[in-house]
Amino acid sequence: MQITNKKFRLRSGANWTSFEKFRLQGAEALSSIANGVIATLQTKTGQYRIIEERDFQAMYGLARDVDRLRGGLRVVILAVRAAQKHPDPENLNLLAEAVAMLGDLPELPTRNSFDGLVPENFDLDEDDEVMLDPDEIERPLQSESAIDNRIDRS
Amino acid sequence: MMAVANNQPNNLETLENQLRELSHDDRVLTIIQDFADRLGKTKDRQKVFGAEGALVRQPIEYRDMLAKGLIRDDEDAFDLLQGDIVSSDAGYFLGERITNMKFAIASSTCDLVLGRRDYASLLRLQPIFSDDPQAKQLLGEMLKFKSTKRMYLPPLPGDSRNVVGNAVLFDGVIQIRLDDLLLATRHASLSLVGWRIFGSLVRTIMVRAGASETEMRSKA
Repeated sequence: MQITNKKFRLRSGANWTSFEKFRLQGAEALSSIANGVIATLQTKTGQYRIIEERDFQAMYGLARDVDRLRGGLRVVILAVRAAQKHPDPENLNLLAEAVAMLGDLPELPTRNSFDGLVPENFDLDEDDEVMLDPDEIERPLQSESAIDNRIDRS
Repeated sequence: MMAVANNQPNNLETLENQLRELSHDDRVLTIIQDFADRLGKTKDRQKVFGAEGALVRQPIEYRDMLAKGLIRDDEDAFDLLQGDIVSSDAGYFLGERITNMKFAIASSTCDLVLGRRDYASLLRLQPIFSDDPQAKQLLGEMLKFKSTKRMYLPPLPGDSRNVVGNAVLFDGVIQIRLDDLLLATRHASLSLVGWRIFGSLVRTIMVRAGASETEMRSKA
């Protein structure tokens, strides 16, 4: 079992000042866009940022967490306002409690793996033949570059 | 109680009688298991179920289907279909956000139309690696389709070279907002028979009767 909070960092990458320059460079132009690198494309209709799919998913996931955090922060902000307006022991205590609650959550929990699968042990057949050589096994849909999903193992 | 013509149920007892064979029927599992059994050894099942187009296929695209006349233009446009294999970092399981994993969409296709639902359900996938000491047994078990916890899928796009199969896990459901799911990375759709097997397992695992359950409910 593994609970992680990978740091997410975006960096500026290639900058094309016209669509034509981008087009002339072809698909190769996109190869540098990965692992947090974001490219910029300036066109007559506006400026666009190009981000690789996995970075987009990571950024979108973080945005979803920020949305969740808003609820907790709202409680803290209300406690701060109450303490500012009426700095009595009850309100100061409420503020301390609200902050302490957030303090227990220094990072929002994420998980990128689960316990490894274990056999269920039914119909154990010693004579069974199983293909385990990756070169022997058909890979029906091979269109994307491989992700090293060993990270999924705990 | 109002009289009803023919064999339409007119009381709760006859209603139960008519539902009995339908609501908790698990014969679909026997059909799948018998088919797998007849194929021979696990390696033979791997060849059949892991072949191009057997269980999975390239994602089914709305515009392609429209152009081929396989969907009418007055039907709902879709971005995703039930059983699609996707990745998203915006799904949650017991309060934790799940990252860097693949999922199979458990929700029905008609519930994946923008604005129709707020939430969707996903089942997580776990890869099986060639050097896992349990790989032989895991694949052997899954390809018999006897498990109520897992379903076999072949290596999928994006899997590293040493992945020899995947398990769709029915133990625990991932929740995601539908809006977020519609932005997920789409890796594959299920073939027709893949969708039938997936649907059979989802239905039967969610709704199956224990050995004494009928007796307990009717006579206790």
